Amino acid sequence: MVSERNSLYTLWLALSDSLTWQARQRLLEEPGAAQVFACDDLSALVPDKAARELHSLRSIGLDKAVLRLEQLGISWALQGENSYPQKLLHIIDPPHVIFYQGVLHNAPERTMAIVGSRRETRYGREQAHRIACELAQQGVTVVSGLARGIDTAAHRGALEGGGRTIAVLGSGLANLYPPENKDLAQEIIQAGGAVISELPPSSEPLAFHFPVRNRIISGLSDAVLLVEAREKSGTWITVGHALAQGREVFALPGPVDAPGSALPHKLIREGARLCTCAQELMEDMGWMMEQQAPEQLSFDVTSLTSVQRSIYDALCAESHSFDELLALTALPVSDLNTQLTLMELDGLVETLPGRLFRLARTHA
Amino acid sequence: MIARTLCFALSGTEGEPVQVEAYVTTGSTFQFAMVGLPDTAVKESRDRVTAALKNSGFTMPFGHTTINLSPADLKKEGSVFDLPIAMAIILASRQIRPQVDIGKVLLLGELALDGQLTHVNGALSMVIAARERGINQVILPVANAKEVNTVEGMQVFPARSLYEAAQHIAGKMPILPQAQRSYQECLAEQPIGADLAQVRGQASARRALEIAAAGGHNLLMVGVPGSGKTMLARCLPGILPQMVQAEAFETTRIYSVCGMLKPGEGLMTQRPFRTPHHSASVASLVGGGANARPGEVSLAHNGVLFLDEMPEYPRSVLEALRQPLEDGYATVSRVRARAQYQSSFMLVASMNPCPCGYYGSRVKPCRCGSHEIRKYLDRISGPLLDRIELQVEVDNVPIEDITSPHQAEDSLTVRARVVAARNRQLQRYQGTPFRCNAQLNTKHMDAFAKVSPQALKLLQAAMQRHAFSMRVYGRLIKVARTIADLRGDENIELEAMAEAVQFRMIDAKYWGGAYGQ
Repeated sequence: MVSERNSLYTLWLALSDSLTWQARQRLLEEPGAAQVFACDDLSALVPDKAARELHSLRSIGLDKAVLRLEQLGISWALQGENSYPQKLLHIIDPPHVIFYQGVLHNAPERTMAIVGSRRETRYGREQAHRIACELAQQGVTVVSGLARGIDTAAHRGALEGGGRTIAVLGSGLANLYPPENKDLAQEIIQAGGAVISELPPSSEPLAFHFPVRNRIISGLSDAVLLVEAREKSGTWITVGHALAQGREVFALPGPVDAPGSALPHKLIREGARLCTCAQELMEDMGWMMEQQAPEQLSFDVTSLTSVQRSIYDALCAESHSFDELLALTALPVSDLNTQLTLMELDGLVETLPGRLFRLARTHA
Repeated sequence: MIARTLCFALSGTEGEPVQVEAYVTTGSTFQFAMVGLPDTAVKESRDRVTAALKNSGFTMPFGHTTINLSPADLKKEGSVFDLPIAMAIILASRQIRPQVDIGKVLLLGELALDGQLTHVNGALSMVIAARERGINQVILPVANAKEVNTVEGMQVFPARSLYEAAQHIAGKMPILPQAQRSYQECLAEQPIGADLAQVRGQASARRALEIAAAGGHNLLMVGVPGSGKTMLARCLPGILPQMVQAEAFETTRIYSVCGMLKPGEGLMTQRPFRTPHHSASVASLVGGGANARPGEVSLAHNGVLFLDEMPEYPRSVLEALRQPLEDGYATVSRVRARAQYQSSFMLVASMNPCPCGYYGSRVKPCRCGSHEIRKYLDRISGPLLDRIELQVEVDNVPIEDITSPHQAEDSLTVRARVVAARNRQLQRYQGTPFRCNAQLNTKHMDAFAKVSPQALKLLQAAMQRHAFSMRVYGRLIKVARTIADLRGDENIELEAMAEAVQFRMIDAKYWGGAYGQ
């Protein structure tokens, strides 16, 4: 009974938006949560703003606060509870309380964080999506930040691979950011994953929340994969946390002249593992492949008509624009249009923005 | 005594008959009254008419003169009533004896103070309306004569002044009727303007332009800055066929009503090409103002409305295009006026793929995040996009192509194919209100656009793959019909359908899946 009250007091401290981790840690260590709760004048212990917040929470009553969390469908886990992930306890500053929706547990699982730029390129998006998908198929949980760009691609890839994925927010759970990813968050929860945050539900997505949140992304994971990041990207902080926490760091190479390749290449030069596919990740981590990657869909080239064959051959080496294909195949415009549609509908050819055509990537 | 002359008032682009009655009686004072809902320009005509009468050798009768414009509930606007009012006064005061049945002669024209007749707006609409009501003679200003000389069965008497008109009616010095011209005679050599021969590369966009011209379809060009979207659009008038007579009448009427037909200008035979700036308001685009004037969509009737940098137009303006695009007319309702204007136009639009302009380019990297691109593209709503059946990407032309001496096909060659395809359509749609494939409605689709089984199978596969709406389905068939017309096929075969689908991919690529795959 005593410990249950104690948990409630810790939750109470965690519900204050402006109390930093360090301040909360001090309070929990020195007087202890129960003593703080019993204290009349909070402003002696904590800064004014936090004191006001805690005071108003206390006057409302903790039962009300708990009820409100339940109404929002938000669960919470304290350190040492069954749903508190084991891996987080091993970092230097584990969150005192984790608010979450979906499924969270402390059973051993393989986890891999995939992080990268919010201003991603098509290349980075496709690769993050593919690797997350492959990892999910091998039963690895993909952890990321639900941000725009690479994060979104990683979550989506994991969902497509039928796996579990965890999104760590830099805002409160009732204040999901970015708003266009609300549906994605729902899908993650429905697929057996979790959306988590150490911040109280109503917390705003403020800039300084995100670097702090990054330590949870790396902390939850066995390894971190950096997909695409420019110089001065916030993902560098995640990598720093990962190294401090003793996590493996991988980097996915990109074109050398793309700004988004700056940090991954820098990492590789500094000794991070270069990674091009999930299989390499699994091998380097010493994880057994649960199932073999499905064979690449091969098809019979001889089944193509001679015209389609000439288009196929032209696209084998690299992607081409419509005008280039026209020059390479010497077909009339209307015929090339027709054939490209037919091949597209057969899933053989893809078009990219800029009317660029390439052979379809049949990623498993 | 009382005299009556005939004139027409404008309601939208339609003419409504107005009888001008003059009652002149003796009195001890000079009085000149005008009744019958005249607007300011009509009221002012009393001063012009008084001066013009005196300067043409007539007198303004001393005593009471009353002018009644009937029907009294129809609003009369403009200066066109000067001539019929003056003539009614002359007749009512018996200054001349009419040798023609004055009730059967349409009179219109504005008077200068010296009695000269000057140009009026909307003459064509009035003359056509009069002809439909069995009137076969018209006296109008010389400056308007060319505009109406193709109206069949109408004797046109161009008058220079009130005096000439009066002498003609009195039979003393008849005006020679203007020679009637057939529409074929009006068709002048069509100037090309921007020629496709100057466009290097861009095979795909050229093909899209040709299909759009051949079927009157809407076209969206997406491409990086400086790739030649605007230049391609400016080549469009040069490959469009000239208007058929009925189209020429419709379009000229709108221009005439707006006063955009210069004095002395004849029937328009070239399709209009309108390029409103993106600061345009809803009213200027679809029509409006206190008098419910026609907007750009109507000025582009039977021609092209070109929106350069489409996302820069306010959302409200773009959404206002939806109804005219679907129905072929714009209804303008104001407190004091209501009018319906024809607006069957080709919408040609250009835009960049993203805010920085280089998304998908191989020349320059794009600086935009996917979120920014999404927001930019979302300025064009799905329903509007659905209505643009041809969508094509325009890429930068490689430097070798620009400098290559190889001459591209010129506009004349392309136009010959377009005209052939259009003639096939005109023949097919004889006896229907349609003039080109774009106007075909769903009801008549089965009869005029037969789809072969293989083509249908492909269309269904494409529908499923790209989640096209039913509206897109219908529009794909129409485009395929045009491609079949260009190929000379009776029915829509697999090849035509596959090509039509090719010009619809961009939709899914940019606006479709969250991944742009």
